[in-house]
Amino acid sequence: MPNQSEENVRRQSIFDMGIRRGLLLALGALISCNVTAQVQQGAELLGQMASSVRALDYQGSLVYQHAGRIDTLRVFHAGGTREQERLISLNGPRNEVIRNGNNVTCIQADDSAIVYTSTSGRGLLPLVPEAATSRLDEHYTIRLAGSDRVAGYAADIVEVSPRDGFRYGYRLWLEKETRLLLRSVVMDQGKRQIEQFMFVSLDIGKTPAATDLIPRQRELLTTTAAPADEVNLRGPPTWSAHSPPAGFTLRSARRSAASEAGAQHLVYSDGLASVSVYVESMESTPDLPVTLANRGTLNIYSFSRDSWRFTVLGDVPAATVTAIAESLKANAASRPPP
Amino acid sequence: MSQQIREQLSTLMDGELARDETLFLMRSLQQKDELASSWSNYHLARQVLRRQDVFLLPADFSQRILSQLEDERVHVAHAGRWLRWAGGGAIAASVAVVALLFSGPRGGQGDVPGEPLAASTNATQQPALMAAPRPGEFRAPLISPALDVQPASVSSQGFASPSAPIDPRLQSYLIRHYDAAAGNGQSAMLPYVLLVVPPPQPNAGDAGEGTVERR
Repeated sequence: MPNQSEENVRRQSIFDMGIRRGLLLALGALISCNVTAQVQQGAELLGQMASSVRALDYQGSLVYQHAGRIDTLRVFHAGGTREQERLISLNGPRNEVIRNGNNVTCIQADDSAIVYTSTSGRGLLPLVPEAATSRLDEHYTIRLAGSDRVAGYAADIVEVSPRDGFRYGYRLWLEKETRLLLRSVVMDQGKRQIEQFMFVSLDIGKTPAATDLIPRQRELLTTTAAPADEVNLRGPPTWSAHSPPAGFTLRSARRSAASEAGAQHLVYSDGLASVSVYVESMESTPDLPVTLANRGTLNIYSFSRDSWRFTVLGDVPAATVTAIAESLKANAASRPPP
Repeated sequence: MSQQIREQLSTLMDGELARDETLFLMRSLQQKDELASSWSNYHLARQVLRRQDVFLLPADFSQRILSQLEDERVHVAHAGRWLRWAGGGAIAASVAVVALLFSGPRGGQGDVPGEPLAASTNATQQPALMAAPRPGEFRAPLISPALDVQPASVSSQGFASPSAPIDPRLQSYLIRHYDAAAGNGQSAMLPYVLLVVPPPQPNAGDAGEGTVERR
């Protein structure tokens, strides 16, 4: 039979254990609340970033670093109901992209220009998720990662980390007041940097002059209109990815209004990253190699089957375009035309 | 200006004027200021009505059109094919996907088809002329009216690198990809940037510029 002192020790031990458990639970709850708050705050910041990049006037210069190379660009942006933007390369061949409302004009150094009609009306820099409506936390963790200073502006850092190897992670520097994106780093699952852009000079709130938003005169020599807009498919797509990576679902199935029969453009997304699948008919049926190509964060997987050519691309890891490409099958209900 | 010439100008605006009549009209435009002014006004009205970008009209635009017409036999076949590419239609089967990502000088002619040689072969073939529009197709102005604004302020002087045009097929793919993604509320951190920065040159020895894997 235990004596009094042993009983006291036992009671004290149970009490201490209870305290510790209580403290651990409280600490866990605090951490959980903090994490939840960070996720919510991070998602809110992403949402604010999405609206600020469209509404604000700004102009500046930025560096774009990818695969050991640095390019410099200049951007002009006039926000409002009819956004106008211009993105210009400052090194190498003089290429630029201009958006005026829904018209996107790509001008290349050889003075050729192609005009596309955008149906989304979304901007050149950057295109960000509607975080409030996305269930990003299923495949990403979002957290606040401190503060910094970029291009003379104070910034909050938001880190979006992937939960698996089928998507990239992002580290985003958002200006404290306007939430404009000042810098972004794209990382793989191992947090190795793949590319980044960063403003080196920026004037937020400065409206670009009209002359900053139009191309130069000599660039109009060979303007070509791209064929008509894409339209939604009337029925189910002829092809589909039967086992894409977790979270990637079919978000749109379209075709060019001017395309030949059977051509399709499918878009798969996890809410943040997107992958396009282009299905095009070929005039002949050569034995084209299966090819996986990469540039920066962009991966392209291409192959042919019968008289069809498939091009799968997106700012996702090679494993993702490969998985989607290799799971493409003709839908039984709607066999592709011969 | 006669009613007939007005109608010809209007038909030319719609891209439906016959080649011979276009040549005749362009020569007339070169010689008559009144005609050139009307041509500018038509374009301005059209762009305002369609809410399109308003571009500057080169002073020697009619001469340039004449030059383009002279070159039409050379370019039109390429233009048709590239426009079909841009539309997501049939493609030239000899060009592999790696061609989309690389450009610039290549080595000898003995390279394997589908490797970056295809890029240099095809990346230099740019759409030079407008094909006839299809029904419902948006058509940008080939030439545009004068406007009371000056050319853009960003200078490219000092960047005299040889042009390395970005493949129209990649351009089309990316623009439609980001447009579709945006329409669904998804993202890309730097859409269109690949269309602006110079494509890598596969012989430059930059191992990190991009990778290609044949399977």
